[in-house]
Amino acid sequence: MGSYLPILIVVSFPLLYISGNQGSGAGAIFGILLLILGMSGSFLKRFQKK
Amino acid sequence: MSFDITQWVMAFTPILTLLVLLLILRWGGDEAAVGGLVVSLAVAGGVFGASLDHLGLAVAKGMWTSISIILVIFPALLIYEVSHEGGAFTVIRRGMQTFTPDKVLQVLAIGWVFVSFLQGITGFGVPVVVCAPLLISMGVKPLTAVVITLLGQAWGNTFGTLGLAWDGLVAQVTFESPGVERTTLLWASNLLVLVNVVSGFFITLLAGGWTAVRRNLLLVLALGILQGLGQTLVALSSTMLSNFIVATVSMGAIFFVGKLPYYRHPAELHDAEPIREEAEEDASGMTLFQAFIPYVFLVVLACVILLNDTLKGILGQWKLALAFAEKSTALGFVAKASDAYAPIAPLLHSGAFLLLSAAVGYVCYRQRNYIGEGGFGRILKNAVMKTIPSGIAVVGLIAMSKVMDETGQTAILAQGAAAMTGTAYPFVAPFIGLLGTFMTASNLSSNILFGGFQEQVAIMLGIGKAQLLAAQTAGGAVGSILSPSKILLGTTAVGMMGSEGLVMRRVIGIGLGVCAVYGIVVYLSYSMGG
Repeated sequence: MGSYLPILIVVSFPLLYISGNQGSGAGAIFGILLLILGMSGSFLKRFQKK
Repeated sequence: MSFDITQWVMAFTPILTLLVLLLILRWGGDEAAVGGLVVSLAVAGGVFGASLDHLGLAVAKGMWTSISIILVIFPALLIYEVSHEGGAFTVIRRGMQTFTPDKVLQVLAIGWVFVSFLQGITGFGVPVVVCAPLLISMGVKPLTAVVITLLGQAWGNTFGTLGLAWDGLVAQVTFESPGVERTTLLWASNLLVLVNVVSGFFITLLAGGWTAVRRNLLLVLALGILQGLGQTLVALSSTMLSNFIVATVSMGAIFFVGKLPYYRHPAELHDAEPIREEAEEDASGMTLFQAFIPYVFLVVLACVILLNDTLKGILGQWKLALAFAEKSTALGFVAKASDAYAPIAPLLHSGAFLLLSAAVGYVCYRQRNYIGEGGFGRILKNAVMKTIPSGIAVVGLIAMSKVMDETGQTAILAQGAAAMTGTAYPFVAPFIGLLGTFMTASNLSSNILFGGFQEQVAIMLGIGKAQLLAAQTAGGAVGSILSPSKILLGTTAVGMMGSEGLVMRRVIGIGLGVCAVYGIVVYLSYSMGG
């Protein structure tokens, strides 16, 4: 599953861009969480190793 | 200039987090970048009063900006994979023996001179991703290869890429007279002589140890001064071409040096990577020129297009850009609106040149069967798999720098440094330039970020602006050695992703040391009434 996580980074961009420009805080925080989740693949691997 | 020390400390926290994760906890660049980004977001929201939509937009800006870097990483990795699959690196290593059997001179030729040449015309990390694998093919250890290329490209970061960073600085400030601009230029280019000579020295040391330093000291000094002072002389006529012309002359010079009897004796690397025997058999039949085809094509293509204003104009017409709304923090820091933020001209982008070069290399090698069945799939798969973690780290690092920039953290850091140091600020000025490049991986971005600030400090302190502005861009050039994003390009290119902290440990002392010397020189120049 971890190898598909980076797709979330791509998905988060339009969300961040649109919500940021339109002043939607809820959309922006969702986009940020999505981005961080998308970037967390290496953390997951680190924890799996432990 | 007043400032809030709590805000300053909090603004420094994301950078501190990044450094601790990379240098002390030895996390990989992709993990450390996420850590830095999360802390920068928390500080921006919790201390600087940025709204959630402001944070979202700042992250989006960072992601958009990082596309430009990822567009270099992927095709550069394609070139590497094409050359690797075709066995070109083995041929290059053998071919370099005909240039000179002195392996230290070979490393200087690729890691210092060729890197400088590529920096002169392309920049954007291309010299690091292209030359680090070439150095490995010559027997240099992977991490050492990254360190060497980082050092080699530094001096070209102001007047390289056809003078882009210098133009960025000039656009940010107002020179009262052409004389002030000329003085700034002379100061900047002369400061860069130091990083040039120091880089040559350390590259020689890394390649051949102290024996090589003693053997090549005269050459390093001569080349360093030729490149450094040559750049100064040419920059007085053309800032756009100064680095490129001097690097080209330097290429000719080192080729001539390789033919001297002094360099016709074998000299080994002092800590060489063992060469695998199976690789020796892969490249039979390939000539040296064929091995260099992707690189030759890259240089020719870049020169033909970037030095021709008409072609540049035509290809640069197609641009991609996004509009961003204005946002402001609760503390009153305003991130201005932009109708076309950080435009990308796909046909003029370094990534396009690299992609085309990789394609030409692939077609040539495939036609001559240097690349066998299934090679295309392997090349593509390897390049994609290496680009993903590297791309994640770049997104994280650039997003962090944009969050800091867009919410006023970066400005507070610079203002605090000026307020704390007062009349001693000239010593700190190059470190501000370094900070800008450290965060953005670009001397151009550093100059845009802090050029106006340095000018304001000069006015406030009632001193001439030339030395401060020169310190800004020279410090920024040195910052390119330490920038995590640029280090990441190198570790990705040599297949050592995750070792960014190890590279930074080896270069941080050199970078900070050179900046400290800049600071002392600039401070003394003001003290003596300069």
